[in-house]
Amino acid sequence: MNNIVLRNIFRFVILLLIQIYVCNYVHFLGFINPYIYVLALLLLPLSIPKSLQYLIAFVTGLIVDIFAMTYGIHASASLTLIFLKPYVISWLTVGKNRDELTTIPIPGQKDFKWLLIYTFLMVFIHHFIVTMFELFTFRKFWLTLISVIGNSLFTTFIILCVQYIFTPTKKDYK
Amino acid sequence: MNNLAQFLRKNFHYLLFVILQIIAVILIYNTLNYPRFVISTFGKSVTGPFYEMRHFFTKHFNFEHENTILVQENLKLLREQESSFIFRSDSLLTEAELTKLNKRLRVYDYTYANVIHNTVHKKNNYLIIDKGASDGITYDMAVICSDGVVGVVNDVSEHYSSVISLLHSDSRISAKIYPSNQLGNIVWDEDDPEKANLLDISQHININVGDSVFTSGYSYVFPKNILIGTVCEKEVNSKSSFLTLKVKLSTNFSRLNTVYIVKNLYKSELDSLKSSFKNE
Repeated sequence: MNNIVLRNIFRFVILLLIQIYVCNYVHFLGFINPYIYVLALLLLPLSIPKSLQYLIAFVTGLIVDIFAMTYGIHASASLTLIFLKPYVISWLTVGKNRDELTTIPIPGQKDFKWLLIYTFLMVFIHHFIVTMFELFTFRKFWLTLISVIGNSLFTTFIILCVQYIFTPTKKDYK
Repeated sequence: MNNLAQFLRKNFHYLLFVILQIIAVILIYNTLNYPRFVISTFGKSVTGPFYEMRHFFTKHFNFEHENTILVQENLKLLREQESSFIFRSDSLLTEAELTKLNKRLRVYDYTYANVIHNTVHKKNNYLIIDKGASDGITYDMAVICSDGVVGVVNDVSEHYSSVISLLHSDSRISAKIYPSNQLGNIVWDEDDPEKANLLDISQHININVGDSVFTSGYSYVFPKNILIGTVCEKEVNSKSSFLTLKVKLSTNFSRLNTVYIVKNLYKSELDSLKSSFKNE
């Protein structure tokens, strides 16, 4: 238990540092700006109290906001992401036993297809909120949507790479 | 009560979610300029019609004040017009003498007055304005309005003055027609308060309907380039060597309210020159 808490804190710190120092300065093709810290939120165990989850998400988003000078946008997006996370998981694992809902979505536990869909959906929700708040307009909506999808694909790609590279052995999580 | 507490404890996270989300939106609103602009614009589009309605009723209260401000502004602009000055750089004086004098010599000064009596349909029309000798009005000053020429001051009392309107059989204004730059005289001799005759333009001069007629500035009563009207009828008269031209006056004499009075600052000088000219 203690191990998991420490592991999560460590993951949050590392991913936030990468986000703040590296990913905030990535402007690939002019519009792709990966938000890799989403991974920390995706891997947050569902077993911890929801209120605590929301607080963690809010604070995480706020930290990113402070460094990106966009106060509130990432906080709002992260909060929404955490709020929708259980619904997305239960929607994706329909027809299976309830135990699967509490498992952590990492490569060892889920197959690649599931992970891809799950990660992309969550990242898309997050990026969509961030981008819409940043632009704050519905003009050129479809162009915005395309750029959001592109950005989401890029972030998803990075997140899956990170997950497959750094996945611990099954034994650690049991 | 217990149920409520239980319900709250069970659904506390929803409440927390909403609260945090609200905090985030407030943060966004407070720190980013563009969303604030969008939201406040939207707000204004809602409140706008209400303010507009209020303005619809309250705007009339300020008209008088607004009007005086506008009149003052117009006076300022009139005073700065080029035709109000003589530029002395082309005079016979030396450079040193020119710098001693101001190179720009003011000839015309302006003030304003309100028309308190006005006729249009008589054979000889007069106006009465609410400024007189105590405001510096003297005989023979020009009266104009924002649309064009009005007339010349005829008689001055302590606080009022009478003005010979352009619509008077005696009034005669030196005019210049553009673009041919020919001099003529504007005379009114009929019953139509919208039209006057332009005399003394020779037949050979090419004049088109629609040409503008301005004051010439040669009388030193009116400054140069004040609009009188536009040519509306042209007739070639076989009996005389002059064209018969009718000018549609730009001034609407039946709606005069605020007029500007033009004072020639060198009038006495010019008058003495003229009188010596006559005596010879």
